[in-house]
Amino acid sequence: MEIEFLHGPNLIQILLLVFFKFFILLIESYLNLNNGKKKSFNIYYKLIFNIINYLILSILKIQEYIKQNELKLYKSDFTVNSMEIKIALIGYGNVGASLLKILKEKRQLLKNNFNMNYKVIAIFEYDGALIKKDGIDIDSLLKKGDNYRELPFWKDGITFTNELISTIGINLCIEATPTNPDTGEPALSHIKIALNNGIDVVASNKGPFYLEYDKIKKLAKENNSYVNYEATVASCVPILSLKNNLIGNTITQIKAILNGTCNYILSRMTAEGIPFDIALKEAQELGFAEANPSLDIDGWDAAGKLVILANELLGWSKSIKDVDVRGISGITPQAIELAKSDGYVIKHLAIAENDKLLVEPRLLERNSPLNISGTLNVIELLTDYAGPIVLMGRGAGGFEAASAILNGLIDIAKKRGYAK
Amino acid sequence: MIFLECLIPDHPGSLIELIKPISNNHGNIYGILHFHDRKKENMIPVSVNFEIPEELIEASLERLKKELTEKNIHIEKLTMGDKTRQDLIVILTGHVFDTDIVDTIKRLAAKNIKVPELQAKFTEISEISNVKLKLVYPESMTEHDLIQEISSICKEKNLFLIRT
Repeated sequence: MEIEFLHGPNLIQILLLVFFKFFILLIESYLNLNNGKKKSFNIYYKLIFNIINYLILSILKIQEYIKQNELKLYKSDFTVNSMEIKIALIGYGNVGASLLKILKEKRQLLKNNFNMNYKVIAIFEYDGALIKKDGIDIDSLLKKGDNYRELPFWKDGITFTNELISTIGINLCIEATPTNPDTGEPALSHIKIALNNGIDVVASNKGPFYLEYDKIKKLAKENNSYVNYEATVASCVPILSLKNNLIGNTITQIKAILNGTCNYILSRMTAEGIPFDIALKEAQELGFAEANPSLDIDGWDAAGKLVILANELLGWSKSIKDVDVRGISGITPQAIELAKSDGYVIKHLAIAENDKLLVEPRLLERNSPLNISGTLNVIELLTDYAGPIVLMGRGAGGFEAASAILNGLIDIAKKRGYAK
Repeated sequence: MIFLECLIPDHPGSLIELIKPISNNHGNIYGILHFHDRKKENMIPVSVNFEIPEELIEASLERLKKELTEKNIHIEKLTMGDKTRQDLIVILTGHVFDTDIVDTIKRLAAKNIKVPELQAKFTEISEISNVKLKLVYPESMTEHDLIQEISSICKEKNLFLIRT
């Protein structure tokens, strides 16, 4: 770490004094050189003795100066020139790779705009890890594509453990592994290990948060760590951080469309009058739905996100078990036609109101701001004074989630003083 | 809302005889229900829900009663409904007819939940059907209570409920 004293003149004075004395001694020694070799030996000895003497004196004065001014490693006393964020990325899938691409592209922007430097020290996958203490060259890594395990610093069988992270010197962990909806693992363990070691966390994995929201928040507080999970709900839509801009209001209700797959299927059924099965198949072919789409179409993906929203924005303390969930597979084209005839559309809504959490198909007025098409997500917050506030955006995708992670990373870096 | 219950002969054209005077006396009809299962001596109970502009109610109802009596239509009940709250629309999907939609409506009516409108769509009679109901419920009932009622019927009859 490089530091620069803001109150420089005192130190310069000290150094000037040292050089001035040194200069005088040089002149003295030069004048005395003509008086004989024996004498000059004594003068050189005296010169060296005096230099050491003045150096010791200078160091003592500097120490005294520091003590007097209670110099601490805070921005008010120092200018941080290049404090580095040392990152461990867990999960090198679509989101992880997208994040590295953005980090590479924005390196200069991060430096220029935020005075922020970073190194990716480790990248963990399910079967091993890339670890390089002086930082992984992202460009070379990305060029390797899926063959990154061929890199010389790939180590088979390495996992994210307490023992390991104490040796690699990271200060921020990005958790981007796939979610196990029932256990939240392995992400839950990764987050706990990081926080227990005082390492800040940015997560895109919602499982741990809809299962153990309170425990994670408590653990972060106990260890003076930051945990950012903006990417877990609606990806790049900054809905969780919106809370900070609504501190004068009370949010009383949340209504949202939080699953792009369901919204795509219902949009296609509404537009084309096709049955659910055909719309689902189409979504799978286009990559909008998983081969096993049950988490999406049965409503559990949206339910998890709703829990996080309600806990964060309404201050509730719920888990996914508290959500009444009904999926969309029972919706027919005829039901959609009936809805249309009265000016309604059928949407899969996630609702938090009156201490209840619901995910179910609802009839929505055609001109409602929640009536969005395709894979988009939308969230409407009802507030006591500002009325309804609606945010809409892409709720899935590698770069979308990665951009939310980057926001979280910058936010933590600012709080830590790694960025300005 | 005005609720009229009367008996009409079970032959073509008798329903027209009933609704014409309602229409002539500024009545805006919301729904008509025939109770064929309660047919007695060729007479069928019919329930009609309608609204008349408030300033015309008194005079219109007097004329309506007179005209229906002249047509030998027996009025069983003529009541002004409770002040109603917002309507709620629901769509039921499943074997809505096989599970006896009349029973569904009657059970709702027993809780003072009226069904002034009904619309159905289905592909084949043996396939599942879709029925849209407009529900009107009294001010004394909460929306939560209404949903509890309809949800409980849907659960029992294995119907998929979509609501506003």
